[in-house]
This record gives sequence, C-alpha cells and structure tokens, in this order.
Amino acid sequence: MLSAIRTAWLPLLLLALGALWIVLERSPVQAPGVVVLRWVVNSQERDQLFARAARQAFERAYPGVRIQFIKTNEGRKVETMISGGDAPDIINVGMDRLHYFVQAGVLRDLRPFMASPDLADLRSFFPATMAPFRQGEHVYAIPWGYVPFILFYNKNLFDKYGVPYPDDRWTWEDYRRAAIRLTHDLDGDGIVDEFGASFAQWQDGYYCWIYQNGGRVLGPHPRTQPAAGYPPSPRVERGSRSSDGGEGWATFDDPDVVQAVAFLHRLTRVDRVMPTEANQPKQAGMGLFEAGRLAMNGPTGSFYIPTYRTYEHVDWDIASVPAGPGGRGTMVAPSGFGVTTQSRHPREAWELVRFLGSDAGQEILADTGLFVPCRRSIALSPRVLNAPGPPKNKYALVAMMDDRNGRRPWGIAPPWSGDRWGDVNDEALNANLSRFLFGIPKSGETAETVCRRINERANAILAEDRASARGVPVRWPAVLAILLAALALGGAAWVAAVWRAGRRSRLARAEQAWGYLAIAPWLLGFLLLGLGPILFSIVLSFTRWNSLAPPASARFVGVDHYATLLSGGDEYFGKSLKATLSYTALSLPLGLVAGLLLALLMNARLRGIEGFRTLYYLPAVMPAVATAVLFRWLLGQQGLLNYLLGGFGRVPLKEMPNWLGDPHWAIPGMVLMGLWGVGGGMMIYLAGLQNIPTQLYEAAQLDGAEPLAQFRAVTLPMLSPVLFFNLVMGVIGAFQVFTSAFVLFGGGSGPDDAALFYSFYLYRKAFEQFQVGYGSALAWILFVIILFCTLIVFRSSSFWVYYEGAREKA
Amino acid sequence: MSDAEARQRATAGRSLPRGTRLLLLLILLAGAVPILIPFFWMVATSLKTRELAGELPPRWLPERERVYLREGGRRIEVLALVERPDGTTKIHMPNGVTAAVRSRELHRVRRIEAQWSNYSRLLAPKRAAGDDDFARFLLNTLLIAGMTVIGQVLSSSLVGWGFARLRFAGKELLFMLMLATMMIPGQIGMIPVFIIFRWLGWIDTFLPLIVPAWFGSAFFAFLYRQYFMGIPLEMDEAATLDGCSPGRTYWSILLPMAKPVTVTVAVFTFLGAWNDFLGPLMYLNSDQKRTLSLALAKFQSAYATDVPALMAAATLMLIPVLAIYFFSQRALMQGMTISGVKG
Repeated sequence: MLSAIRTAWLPLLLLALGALWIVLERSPVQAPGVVVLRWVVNSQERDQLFARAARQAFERAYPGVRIQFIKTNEGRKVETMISGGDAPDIINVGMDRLHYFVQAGVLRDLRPFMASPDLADLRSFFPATMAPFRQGEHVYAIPWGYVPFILFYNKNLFDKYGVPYPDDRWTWEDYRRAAIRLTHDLDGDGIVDEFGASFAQWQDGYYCWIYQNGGRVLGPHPRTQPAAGYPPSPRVERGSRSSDGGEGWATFDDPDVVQAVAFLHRLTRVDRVMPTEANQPKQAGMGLFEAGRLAMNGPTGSFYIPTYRTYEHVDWDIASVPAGPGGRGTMVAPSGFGVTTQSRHPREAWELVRFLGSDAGQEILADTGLFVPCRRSIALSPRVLNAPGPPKNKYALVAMMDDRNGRRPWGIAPPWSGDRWGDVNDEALNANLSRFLFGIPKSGETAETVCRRINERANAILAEDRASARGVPVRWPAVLAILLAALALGGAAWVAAVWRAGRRSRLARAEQAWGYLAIAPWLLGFLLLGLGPILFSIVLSFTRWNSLAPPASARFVGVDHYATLLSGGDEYFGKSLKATLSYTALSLPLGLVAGLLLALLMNARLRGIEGFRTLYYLPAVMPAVATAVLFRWLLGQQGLLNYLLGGFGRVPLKEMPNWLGDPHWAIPGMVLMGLWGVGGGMMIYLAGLQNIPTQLYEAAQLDGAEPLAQFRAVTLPMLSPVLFFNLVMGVIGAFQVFTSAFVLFGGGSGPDDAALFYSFYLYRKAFEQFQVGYGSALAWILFVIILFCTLIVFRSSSFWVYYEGAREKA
Repeated sequence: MSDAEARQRATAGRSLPRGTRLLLLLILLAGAVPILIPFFWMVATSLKTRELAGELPPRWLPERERVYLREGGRRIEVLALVERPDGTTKIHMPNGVTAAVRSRELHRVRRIEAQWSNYSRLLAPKRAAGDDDFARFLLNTLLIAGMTVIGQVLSSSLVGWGFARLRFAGKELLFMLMLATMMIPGQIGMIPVFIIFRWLGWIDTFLPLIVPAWFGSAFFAFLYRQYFMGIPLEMDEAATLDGCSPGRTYWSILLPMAKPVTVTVAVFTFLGAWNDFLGPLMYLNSDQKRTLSLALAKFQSAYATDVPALMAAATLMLIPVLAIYFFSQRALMQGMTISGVKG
C-alpha cells in the first residue's frame, strides 16, 4: 500500500485534486420553475443590510423569484462580468458609468415594460435624479438613491473654540472665517494639529464648489474661441444628457468657475486651513476627522454617514454647503437600477427594479440610511427627516432637492459628454487643480491661468473624441478570416520544413517527433494564448472600441493612436515615459551596486552566513501588495523613515523629504522601497559568483594579485554576463512596474503625475476608461521598447556564455 | 554540474583572517537592521490601537492608553473627547452621559497591551455581514495553487528538456520566440485572452486560472533548460545504451536530477497563484468561488483609514508565504544558485 502511494503519488494527488475540483465547482442546485435574478452588491456591511432587507421583501411579494447576491468590493466587477457575457440581471448605475453603459447597449430600455401608470410615476422622483436616466423616449434606469454633497462638522472642536455651528444659510465668508478660527498648531512645532477644513478633492468636490457659485462646466459653446479645427458637435445619440446640458463644450474658464478656484486657492495657500503637501498633518492610525483633528469635512458626499456613526470620540452633525457670491448649488450624485440586455429574465428583473424604486423599496432604503431615496414622498417624509441616530440635521440631506411650496431646488447632477469625459476629469480638472491647490505649485500661476489651461485641455479632449467617432466599422469576420489564413499559411510552411528535415533518417525523424511532443505544451499555449491574442491586439490598436460594447461597434481609426502618441499629442504618454525612465535610471545602478556588494559579502566563508542570506532575502518574498501597503505608511512625511533618517527626530519632520507628496521625491521613494527588496538581485549575483571556478582565483593569487585586482581581473569579467542580463531584465521590469506603484500611491499617479508609470497609464486607459484600442497601441509601443532591450542582450550574451552540456552544432 | 561539485564551489571562498571575519559580521549585522525594521514595525503596528498607531517618537511595543476618572474613591474608565483651552475636558462616561470635567481629575494610564482584536476583526467578520466562508476560500485557493503547480512543473520541465536535449527543425527559432514572449507585457493579451475564455464558456470556473499553467511558462521552461544543459550528456547516453527511450530518460533520469529547479518552480508558481489578484478578480464571479487574495483585498479597501487593520492584513498575507519559504529555502537557494542566470 505504502509503496503504491510512493510510486503512484502523482496520479493519486491529481485524482484527489480532481475530486476536490468537482466538489468546489458544483453550483448550488436550483428548484425547477424558480427564476433566479443576480444582483451585484457591495460587500460593505451597510450595502448588505439594505440588499438583504430588500431581497426579503421582494421575495415575499414575488414567490417564484429568487435573488442571488454577488458580493464584491471591486468597482470594476460589474464591467468585467458584462464583458465576460456573464452580466448580472440588474445593475446599480451612477453618473460615471451611465454613459458607457448606454453607449455600449448594456442597459435595456425599460420603456416597453412600462404601463402608463409607471410612466406617470416617474414624476414622483426628484427631477435632478430622474433626468440622467431618461434619454429621449428611452428610460434606462429607475432612480434609486442619491448622494448629496454636504458639510460634516465636529461639534467638539466648534465648542472648544466657541465658533458657532454652521447653518444652512452659511456663505463662503462664514466658512472661511470658521476654518481660520479652527486651525491650530497646539504644540508650536510648526505642524498644524487641528485643521479647519477639508473637502472631496476629486472632480465631484470641485464641481460642488463651482455649483455653489452658480457656475457650470459644460455649455453649448466654448467661451474662448477654439484654437483651430474644432468640428461641430455631431448630432448623434452618443452624448448622454445630464442636467448640465447635452453635448457641448467645456466652460471651465467661466468667471463663476474662476472665482470658485480663486476662493479655494486662498483657503489652501493663504489661510492654510486645509491639509496640503506643504502643510501636512501628523500621521495617525485613523482619518483626521475621526481623530478629532478636522473641524469641517465638506463639501463632500453623504456616504460618510454610516462610517461616522461608528466614531465614538466625535460628536458631529451636518449642514448644507455654504453659498458662494455667484449663486447657490450643490452636487448630487444620483444612482438608479437598470436591467441588463444580457438578462435572461428581463420581466422579473424589471419587477425588481420597479420594486426598488417603489414606496416599499424606498422605505427600506430610507431605514438603512445608505443613500437618500430619490422618491420625493419618501425623502421628504419623517422616515428620513426624523430617522434615529446622527446626524441631527437630516433636512440638510434633502434641502437641495426640496421643491415643495414653490421652492427652487439647487441640487445638480454632474456633467457628462462623450466617451472621454473621464479624461476631462482626470487629465484636465483633477491634475491641474490638485497641483494648484494642494501640490507643489508652479510659480506665476493664478486661478485664471489654471482655469484657462483646464478648459483648453478639456475642449481638446472633447474635440479628439468627436473627431474619432467617425470611422469605418470594423468587419470582424473579414479580420478573423485574414488572421486565420495567415496563421494557416505560416503553419503549413513550418510543417513542410519540419517534414523535409525529418526525411534524412529514421532516427532523426524519431527525435524530431519527441522534440515536438516535448515542446507541445508551450507551442499550443503560445498559439492559443500568445500569438492569437497578440495578433488580435495589433488589430485592436488601429481601432477605437469601448470594450463594454459588442465588438461590432469598433471603428477603424488607422494609425491615429500611434500618431497621437508619437507626435507628442498626449502629454501623459511623455510623463509616463519620463517617470518610468527616471525610475529605471535611479533604481537600476543602485540595485546593481547594492546587490553586487551584498553578494560579495554573502560569498564570504563565515559561520552562519546562510542565516544572513535567508534574512536578506526575506523582503523579496513579501507579497508586492503587502510591501506597498507597509511602505505607504513608512514613507509619509511624518512617518517612521523620516524620523529615523533625521537622527531620531532631531531634524524637524517638516524639513525632511515628502516622499509620497513631492514630485521630486516620489521616484526616490519608490527606489527606496525597491532597495529594501535588493535581496532578490543579491541571490542572482551570488549564484553567478559561485559559478566562477576557484582555479581562476588560485591562478590570480599565484600571480600575486591583490584582492582588489582579483576582483577586477576575475570576478567582474566572469560576472559580466549576469550583470548585463540583470541590467536588461531590470529595464524590462521597470517598464512593467505596476502593483507596487499602484498601491503605494493609492491607485493614483502620484504628485503631479510623477509616478505615472507606463503600465499604470496603460491600465488606466484600457481598463478604467475602456479605451481598448488606445491601450493596445500603448502596449505595442511598450513592446517595441522592450524588444529593443532584448535584442541587445541576445546580441551580446552569445559571446560570453559557456554551457558544459552544449553540443557541437550539427 | 553535479550537486557535490556545486557544494564544493559554494564553500570555495578563501579563508579569512579573524579581524576581517569580525568586521564582516558587524557589517552584516548592521545591514540586517534596516531589513528587519519594516517587518517589526508592520507587526507592531498591527497590534496597536488606532489612536496610538502613528505616534513619534515610535513605541516599538504596542501600548494602549486608558483614561480614568476618580469619583468617590472609585476609578471609572471614560472616553476623553476633547481638551478645551480652559483646562476642562469633555468626556463620555460608560453610562452614556457626556460631561465636562477638569483635565487634572483625569488619569491617563498607558500599558503595553497588544490589540489582538485587529486580527480577529479580519478573520471573523460578523456573521450578519454575509456568509463568508474562509475555509472554503482556503480550499479554492489550495486547489488552484495545487493544480497550477503540478501543471507548471510537468509542462515546463518537458519543454525545457525538449529545448535542451532534442534536435528538431526550427528549434533555435522557436527557442528565441519563447524567450521573446517573456518580454511581451501581459497587458497586450489580456483582453483577447479574456474574450477567448468567455467564448469557451469558462467564466466563473477555475479553468482560466489553471489551464494556462499546463501550457508551461517561458521563464520556467528556460530555467529547466539551463539546468538540463548543465547535466553531462553522458547521462543520457548511458540511459540510451540501457535501452531507455528519450521520454523515459527524461522522466526517470533527468527530471529527478532537477529537483532543485523543480522546488524553485513549484514554490514560485505556488506563490504566484497565492498572490494572484487580477486573475480571480476577472474570472471568478460567484461568492463561493472566491480565493483568499480576493477576500484579503476586500480588507484593503474596507479599512483604508484603519492602519492597524491594514497592517494586520498585510501580516496575514505574509505568514503562509513565510512558512513555505522557510520549508523550502534550502532547495530554493540551491535551485537558484545552480540554475543561475547565464544569459
């Protein structure tokens, strides 16, 4: 028995794993005649609470329909499922995804399901939350909940300094005065301990400030005359409508917008009441608001409420956002539920969507307090206004929507126009404002020049988007046929050549058969998962395709993507190259020298040296994500590293490098993290050192060479192939840096895009903004760069390498 | 090169004078400090309270501060909310009352106290939060990792052997091609490969995560090939004289000799499967099919401002990896040293 196990362990193990596989892959058995609806739900507790309550109520009302949750905390899960052909039946869609979903035909038009009472019922939702989902005759989602942008404040801190609480009539000046009175450096060390204010520092927060001043960012015409060649906006159903107007052009240079930016600039740069890169808070194991060191958080989304409820040290409430001199307004982010076109049970799914928007569904939403219900009668009922638990001032959640008694509501849904509004947000708005307000400023910049720059960039993006919408549709069958034909031809030629070579002798034929048998796994994998996809991605790089849409919607744009990239039309491409190259230039030589020195040390004959090898190698086995999470914490300006480097705090931390926040220090910070894992490189050099025959050293010693001379005459030359190989592999590795930078900079590109690594930029384009064609072009340029490096190594390595088992060439 | 020869080379450094040895030891010890500090800091932070997690000068052992109010000879523990400039502190008492007391009446006591709850919070999510079944996730992960390791070792060694030992038309070209594929960024094929697996109906199964490993990997095949190249040809010739077919020679002679490489490949494949996040994220949809890394990644975003919990999660991610590393390190080092990187 035992010997059977010993000889047949592999089949037995495979058998066991196979059995396990069958058990684990088995899907739960469904009762016949029951319709199962799949619904993706965020895995956070508060979302789960709502979903479970809604499921219970719905299943009671509709026997025969079961709801199955798919829990995730990953924002892209729904998109992945859709493009995998495995879409859930209903999806919760917000403004940021609505356009892509409609454009890609992901959402089913609900109109055919709606009876006239259903249609009339659409007027029961707040108009600002209904408008985005209703496009022309089509209804793509039923409004569900919205996130109002409001002001959170810490009563403890307001009490402490005797500042009156914010009320719903506050103006910008009230906000500013309070923020100044609430900002304090308690211990006089030059580092602010209590900050007056902070707000949502991404597009939504910026929109909110602009709306507060009556400004708008999307209008029918650009205010400044476009440079040249702005095509007229095509009248197609592409641009999804928002309350900010339909298609059209960016108006970031509007005086109301400029005024808002100037006000923010005063708060961050002159009054210095907000945390910025130059005005950083001390590190803490929790957020500033929870730690009682931030008096006002806002304007920001109401989504913090469930979290803030768990803060036991903070007594807080909310208020409406203050009004600017130019008007009054705030951001609301509505979301609704729609039915996917892939759903096999659209009627049941529609019933569920309708239920979620009905009185009963909206009451559940109100009770769980996740978002504010979009249905007017529920949102303005005591269910919301007198709900238990903080905040006390619940009216601030609905004040901007309240249209009773002829009141004019002032909540505004964010704008959207075309496929690349996401680029407008990232590249035009966020990039410029975060540097101007919070980052390391450029000299001579004013609110006006920044706004003009944002606007020019935004309109250039919109113009590009509209120009590329006109292209020839891709004929996929023809493309596939050509690709397959080329593959078949190449394959046939190869087989013929192999067959001819095998004719020489029976022995050669047999060895040839063994050879191809042996490499068959790789060859098959290469053809199916390597070459095929690569050819496909070449084709993709000449197209423009929103990857959520069916492939039929792809359009040929020729070499447009390459032309844009290589002509310098994409400043982010340049930035990503610069970041990647400067990282390479810094990390490679340092890693090389450090690794080599360590390897020389480790090669010494010393008792316990193996223990040291293990120890030094440890950081290299740490999962990359875990390393980055750790270093994000160590590298802060007020972090442990600066404390230790500054002689245990003798140098004030303010004067130490701001590793993660200063564009000049971002790359060195990354390099430092990389150096910690230098043990990986060390092992490779050590391997090389140990492969150097000792006779060479003995000969050198006989010749009277000093250790240093031995190193120069023996070690370095013998090690040169390894060094060179590592150098090139390092370049390749640097071009593929992704996970560590992604986590270290919190999914962003670092200060002033200093850490916009090439792979990250590619990922952002292809997987965050669904521009698969452009992403493929980026990937191909990357490939060419890498190929170039590879060629160098192969050209040179053959001169150096000696294999003991190598055969003479036949 | 044989094992014995390798060992002989590994110890072939020249013997050193005593002073030099001491100096080297000191340098090595000094270098170990910056290597260890981050590890130590990670574990220490994972055991701290959130209030004290960021403090400088750093406390190397986790402490906890409790605030007591002395009242009629009794000490009651309270929550200090905010200290005011007038010398009073707003506190929250256990009975739910919020009051202001003079700051001097409060006693702040610090004690070394590890917050193991940071770990239990992660490992035992509330039952109400959903039916997370970590045993199931562990089984899923082990299944994927196990199948991946077996496939990777079998296929890569076979391919490496083919390129090292057999003569066939187009070998050089194919070998160059295989090396070239190592240089292709994975991002290029990601979308098309996804479309292929979708077309096969493999979405939400383990197949897309396991099958690619059975095609072998260019890098591991390269490692095997390097190693096989170093085994003298006489071995094969002797086997052939004894009547072994090429396949038999590979399976019974060469593969067993390549144990260090096999361990290296197995460990790296296992670690890759263990840490893989993107693959499971793309291909697995159902709850019960999740892997550990997906489950752990959930903590990353759920506890963004809860640094001790984050550090605890990072520590948890590291522990299994460390265990595997320690058990396999001897063979692993040998594999890396011998197969080396020769260009």
